[in-house]
Amino acid sequence: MACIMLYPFWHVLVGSVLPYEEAVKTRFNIIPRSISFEAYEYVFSKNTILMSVVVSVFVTVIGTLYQLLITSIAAYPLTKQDLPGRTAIFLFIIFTMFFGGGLIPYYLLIKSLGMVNSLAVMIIPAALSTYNLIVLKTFFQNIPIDLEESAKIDGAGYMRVFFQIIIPLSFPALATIALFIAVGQWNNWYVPMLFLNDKELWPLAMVLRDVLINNNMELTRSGSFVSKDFMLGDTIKNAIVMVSVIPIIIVYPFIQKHFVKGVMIGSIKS
Amino acid sequence: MATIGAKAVAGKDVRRRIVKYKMLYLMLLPAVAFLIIFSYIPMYGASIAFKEFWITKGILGSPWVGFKHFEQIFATDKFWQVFTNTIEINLMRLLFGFPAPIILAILLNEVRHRIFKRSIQTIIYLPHFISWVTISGILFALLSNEGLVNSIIVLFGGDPVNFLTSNSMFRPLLVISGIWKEVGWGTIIFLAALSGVNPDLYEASVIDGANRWKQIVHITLPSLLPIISILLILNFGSMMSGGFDQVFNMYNPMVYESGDVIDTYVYRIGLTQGQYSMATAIGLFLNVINFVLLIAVNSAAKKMNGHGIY
Repeated sequence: MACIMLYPFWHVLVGSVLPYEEAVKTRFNIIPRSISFEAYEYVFSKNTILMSVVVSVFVTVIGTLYQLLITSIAAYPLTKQDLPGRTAIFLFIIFTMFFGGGLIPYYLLIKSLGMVNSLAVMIIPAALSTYNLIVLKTFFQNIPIDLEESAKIDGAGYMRVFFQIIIPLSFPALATIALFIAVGQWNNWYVPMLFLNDKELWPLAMVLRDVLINNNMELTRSGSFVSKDFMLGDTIKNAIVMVSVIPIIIVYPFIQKHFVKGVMIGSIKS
Repeated sequence: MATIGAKAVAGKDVRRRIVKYKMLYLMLLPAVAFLIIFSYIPMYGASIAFKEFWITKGILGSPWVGFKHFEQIFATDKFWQVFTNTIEINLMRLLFGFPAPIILAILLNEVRHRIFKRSIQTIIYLPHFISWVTISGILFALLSNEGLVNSIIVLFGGDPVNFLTSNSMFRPLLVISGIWKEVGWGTIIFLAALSGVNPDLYEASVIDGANRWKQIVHITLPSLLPIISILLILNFGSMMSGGFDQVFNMYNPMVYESGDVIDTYVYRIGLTQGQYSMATAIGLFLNVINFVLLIAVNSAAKKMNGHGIY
């Protein structure tokens, strides 16, 4: 079972480090006989790819902090049982989970807001995920109210309670949600495909899509590699795939133990 | 008089509470503002389905045309093809994809070795975090004409199969790759439900002479039923959405016949052909069906076994 899950990744990893001569000779490479990082050197020597990695990192970091702040700061008031209008506000938020305007009205809206061809489009509209909001709300509800009340007696307002008590106590939940948001941002190709026509703004996921799905060979067959065969194009493709997957695999183990709990909380309530 | 007085007091109380909680409303403000702008304004924008939309005139300035676009859509063969594709693909996903995580969770639950179980879980969750772009790229590498699978077929003397351009292969490919990506992730929720089962039940059943299989049928499965019914409802609620990410990254014009779903069709006629009103009408039609299905299935499920999502 685990082998079936892992083999495709292994195939790509091996494919990315096989030297050209080896790759031509054989197609079945469970264990590579020799390793070369030529393809990676090539990938990292391309400005297009380096720039796209910078864009991806920027969008992921800023987008995650921003979305995490707005989602958690909205989740906290919703835990207060006697807040007038709480149910109405909650329904107002939940309704967007089940009904939407559709692609075209959204596209027209973004266009009229002047966000086409600007990185803001990858960050600003992604302020809130309803699902994450529910998970955080449920988590906040389970924090003992006594802590909050003693802080209030000491004269702290809601804002201070939120930042000095709720946030520090919710670290595992916040880390989980942050992983979900970050992965979503890192993998986001849809928004740039719709709104970023300017290739210089493309994040790595979009470059990857251009190379893998649209089979744009500008990147895989140029420069010093032009004389070599098509096979090398595949090696470079594999290397780009690995560049996009490795950050996820690196972050993943640190948060993995938390997210199972996070998903449970979310699912029980919804 | 007394009730009016009580109301007045209650009104004052509410007002006092609103003032007391003004900071909390302020904290909700950004989220609500964003939802109004990025979710509710597009819902209003969906009105262009009933208008002859001209970009220069804007949504407000475009003239109303009633159900003209809907009539046009329903008269198109292509639309009905995409419509049935969506339903058929989703039914296939439901038939094969839905039970997969349940079965896997039950199997994992039988694994007693903790470290082994943990490491399997870690591995099977991973593909969920990889995007369909990457996975399609990997699939192409495995399944293209010179890819691994065809190399093996040729090695054993077979003829290469055009996995990626054949209409008969495309749907199984969608379903199988979908299971591969999400099955592990799907087990989380079932495993969580199973970890809540009282161990006494299993012990009692052993005393009564139940074997592993009987335990699964009489204890494990019934304890999963509530969560299964909730997930089924949610699944029905998205019967009309075709999993845009997956299909869009895997299909090509050769397999439109079997693989084109409503979501991808809306994208193509709307954004690549610029038929804004038509595409919006289709999108709205699909959203309404999804919403109605969700409500209908939910109330049916509630009547049958008391487990709904609201």
